[in-house]
Amino acid sequence: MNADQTIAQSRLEILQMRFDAVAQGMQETLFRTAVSPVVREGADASCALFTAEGELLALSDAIPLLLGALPGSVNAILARYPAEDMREGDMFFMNDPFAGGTHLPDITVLVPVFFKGERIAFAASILHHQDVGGMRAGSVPPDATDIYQEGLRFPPSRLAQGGRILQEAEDLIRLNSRAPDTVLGDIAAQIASAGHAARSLQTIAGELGTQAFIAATHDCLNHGENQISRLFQSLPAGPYQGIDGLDPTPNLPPIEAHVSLSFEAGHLKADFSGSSAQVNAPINCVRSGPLSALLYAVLSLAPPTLFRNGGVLRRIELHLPEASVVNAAVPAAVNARMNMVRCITSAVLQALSKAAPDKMPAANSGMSYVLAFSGTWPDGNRFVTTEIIAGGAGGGPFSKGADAVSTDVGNAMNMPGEALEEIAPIRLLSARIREGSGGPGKYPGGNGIRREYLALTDGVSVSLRGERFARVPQGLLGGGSPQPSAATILRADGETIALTARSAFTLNSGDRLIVESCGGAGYGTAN
Amino acid sequence: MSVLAIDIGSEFVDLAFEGKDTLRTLKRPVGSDDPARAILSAMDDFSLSAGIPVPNLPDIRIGSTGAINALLAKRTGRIALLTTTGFADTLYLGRQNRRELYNPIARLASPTFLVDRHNIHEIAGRFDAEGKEIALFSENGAAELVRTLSSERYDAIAVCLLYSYLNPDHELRLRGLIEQALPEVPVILSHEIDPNPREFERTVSTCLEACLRPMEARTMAALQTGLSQRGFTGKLQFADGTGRLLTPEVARTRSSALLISGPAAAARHAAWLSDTSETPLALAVDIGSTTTDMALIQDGTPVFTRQSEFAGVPIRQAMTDVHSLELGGLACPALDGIGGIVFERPSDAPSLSLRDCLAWLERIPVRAPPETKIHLDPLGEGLNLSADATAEAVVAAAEQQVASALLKFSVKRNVDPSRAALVGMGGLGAVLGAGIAERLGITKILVPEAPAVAGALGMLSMGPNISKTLRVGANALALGQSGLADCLNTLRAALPSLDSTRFTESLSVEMAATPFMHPFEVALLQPSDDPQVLVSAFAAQYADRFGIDPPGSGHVFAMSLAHVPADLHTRRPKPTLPETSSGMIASEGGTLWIPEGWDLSVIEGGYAMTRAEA
Repeated sequence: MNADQTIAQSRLEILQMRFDAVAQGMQETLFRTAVSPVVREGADASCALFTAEGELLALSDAIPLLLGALPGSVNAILARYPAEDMREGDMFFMNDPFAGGTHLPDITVLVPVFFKGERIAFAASILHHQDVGGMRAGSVPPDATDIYQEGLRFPPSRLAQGGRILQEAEDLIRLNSRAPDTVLGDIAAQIASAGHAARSLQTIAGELGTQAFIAATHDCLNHGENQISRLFQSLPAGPYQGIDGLDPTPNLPPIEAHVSLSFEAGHLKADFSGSSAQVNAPINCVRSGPLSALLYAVLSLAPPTLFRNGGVLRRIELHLPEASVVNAAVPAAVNARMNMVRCITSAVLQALSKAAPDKMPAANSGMSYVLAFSGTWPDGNRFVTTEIIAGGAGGGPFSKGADAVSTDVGNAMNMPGEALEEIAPIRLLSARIREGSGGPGKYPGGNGIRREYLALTDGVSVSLRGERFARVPQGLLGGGSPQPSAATILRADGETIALTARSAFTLNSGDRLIVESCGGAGYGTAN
Repeated sequence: MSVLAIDIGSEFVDLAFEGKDTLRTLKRPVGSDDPARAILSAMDDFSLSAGIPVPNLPDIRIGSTGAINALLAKRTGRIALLTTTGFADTLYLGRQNRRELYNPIARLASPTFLVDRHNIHEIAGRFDAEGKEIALFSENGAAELVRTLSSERYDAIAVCLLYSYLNPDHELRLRGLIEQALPEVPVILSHEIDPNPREFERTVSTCLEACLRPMEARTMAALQTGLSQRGFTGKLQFADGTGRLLTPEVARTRSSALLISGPAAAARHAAWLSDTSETPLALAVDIGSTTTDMALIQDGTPVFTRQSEFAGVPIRQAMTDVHSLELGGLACPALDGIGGIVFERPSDAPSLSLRDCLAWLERIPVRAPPETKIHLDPLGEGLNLSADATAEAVVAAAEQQVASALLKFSVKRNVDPSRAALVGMGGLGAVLGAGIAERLGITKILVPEAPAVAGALGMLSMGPNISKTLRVGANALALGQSGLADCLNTLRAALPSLDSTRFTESLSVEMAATPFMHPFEVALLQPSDDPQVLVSAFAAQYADRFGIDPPGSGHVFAMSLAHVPADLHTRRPKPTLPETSSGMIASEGGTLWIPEGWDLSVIEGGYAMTRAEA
């Protein structure tokens, strides 16, 4: 590389950094303005920028599980509303999993950004909304068998025109959500984050000029593509196989994700043939799931100097069997897809660990709980709140796995007791590291979490979605498996009820709920 | 009135003395593990060289990065932590999120090193979310716990109980019992240090104070003894993280407030330089041996925050908004595997450093170590570059990394860096400054006359920290005029009488749209007891920050009233313009690197570098 090339690359790096920083600024704005606890406390939202043509330009540092859904959602909106017809002040939204989304509570908001009348980029965010209707409060019914029970399905739709939210869009939400003010408040936060992006991108375009700005976005993507191509070419071709599965469930066949990864001519090919057919339970995931898993895996394998943009996506090829648990079709239920995505991620990381054995630890817990409480306060006001509970990290390759931490495609934060108890008639009695739950090994897996709740009023509806109650991650290089997850109700009258991985139930005053998450797998043979 | 300011870092003690028409600076190697001894020794050197006996010094000010270095090295005091039953693991659970999103080896984002897990104990008794007692405090349990604590040696004991910010009764009772049995051990209560909700963040604040207080108390005591032995009878003050001065009595009880006193002092000097040169917006960058500290200067004042992270520790207190990047002159370059360079922590093994590369390129006034070329060659092979070009590439990578961090820092604060000036401080801030500025589109760099002692210079222009904070916890409109007036009266009663010839009153109110949202600070230069004024100010500042209207009228978490010095503006002469105005310009106070395309001029108290084409 000569001096001129070094300077040109350096300028490009700065520009990509500025785009990354804008996406991060969107994320900060979202957290500062969101009204729902799962975003404010749990950080369950992600932001990204797209080029004027709709290719991914920059990602925020957020939950990878959601980031993978933004490219598909943006494409779906642009297919319905051609970019060239968009005007300043237009805004769009959607949540249809089968058109590019994840599950129904995750609503994507897309805003075109203009400079001197010309479209220069798009700002997009996806946020887990508190309730979009359906058979259970929180819109994550663990007993759903099809999408129609899960809530309102928004196709790509217009949200605003001339900078004002359309009355029909607001009415649609108001009439169908159990928490309309919260949902609309969080949509306002998504609009605020897009506003931040617009102001920042217009500043950059003002410095560069419109055409130079657009050309620079293309250069950033091309550079990212070149970088990832070099990384893929440096890895042995493979193929590398990975398999993981969900817990056995009564009345459902075994559910597994199979993946075969190979590196060919600077491309990563991921073939999910052999994965199970979709089922009549909400554990299916759509295309955004495997894409999130692969994008996370590739970014974690690459050095931090990689341009994290659509150039990387150009070099990832997915082969997904139709109507499968990794690529579900209408009318599959998908609300509890998180653990399927974790399962896919485990399979992908398992395969990658064979390609780069010195970088990868043993399997993480491969699960998170999503726990939703809803009901009515004694004064008649409704409450709905959701929290996410992580497991343990896999051990190795150089040290013990971390306890109680969000891993791979997750990165949600926990709910403080002092926040939960203000917004719901629930008392958090204890929050502990679940000792002994990590897999044994030279480098043991990290332990999971144990949380115990007390209901303070009657009629608290609880939706619990977990995983790894039976099928636990396997250790690596002689390491052992962790303890499985568990969840139990201790009724006030002394009755004890062991729960399954996906349960819906009611707690009355004095009832307790104990939730225990799975640890990470061990690495190497223990002495 | 003359002032001696002393700033102790990991490698050097920096001194700045200002008397009538006199400004002197001095830099001395630390030379001792004992910070008090290092400070006193450097002060003795100064006293001798300047011919000013210590008893003639009326005002000595101390700043330090010792606490940060202790945190970075994870060498803090041995403490115990007492929590509510069921919450012993709060620190070890953190907020569950990991530190690096794309590192396959997950690391929890929590400073668990502050207290060993087996030194955490639970105590029965609990309050609810309204501060009502729902489980009785266990006197017997507490007595048993105190016996357990007595069997170990702790430097301090931290107590963080649920909802103590609403009802501190159990924390106070615990302290009473512990102090009876262990009168010499400081007991730090969470409601006194950080009276705000969210138990993890409050636990960290409390443990941080407990970890630092014994260390700081020892240093302060040794310093006071040493000064007394030298006949010093003047005023001794300690710089805090807001860039103001505390008396020893206050400083002893708020060690965590002193944590970033060094970087905050440098930011204060950057603010002074920006103000005197009429630069409304500046990014200050202080590049030392191990870290790069950055701060934002607006209208001649450093920007403040109430939430930050330093040395891996989330900090929730009023402080200068400083971000620290672990990259300094001792950082070691390595290949990233896809054609670039990354930096690793300095190691004990012989290796190449950024400083070696700068010396190789003759941009700093030291000779490159003889083995520099041996270390440059393998790096150059990986990059297909000559030794000279490799050293250039390493310097460019460092400039790029600092620029990247600075860009994230500024964009996060809604600031476009290309509209700002850069203030280059520390040993390398003015050496790498031009490269950093070019990457960010910055066309003006301000450099203090002695950039390598910027922290000590900053302390010269500090005023006292006279402020009080009151926790409120109510809607602004519900408080009403009488409620707000009560709050202001309470705050005024807790402060000394306002000397309006020297100070003005400033009110800052911590507010959010609803009680559940994250707060930010609403500044009111004219304190008012009219709730509508407060609500309007909140709505305007919310809309200005986020571009939307707030989803609520405004919840008041806390109010802080401060006496702000009316004018601390010190006039200083312009330095002499160096004979050369390009390439390396070195002096005792620091080094500048002026590359092609940049012009050098002198300004009051320093230099300005301007891009020629700008």
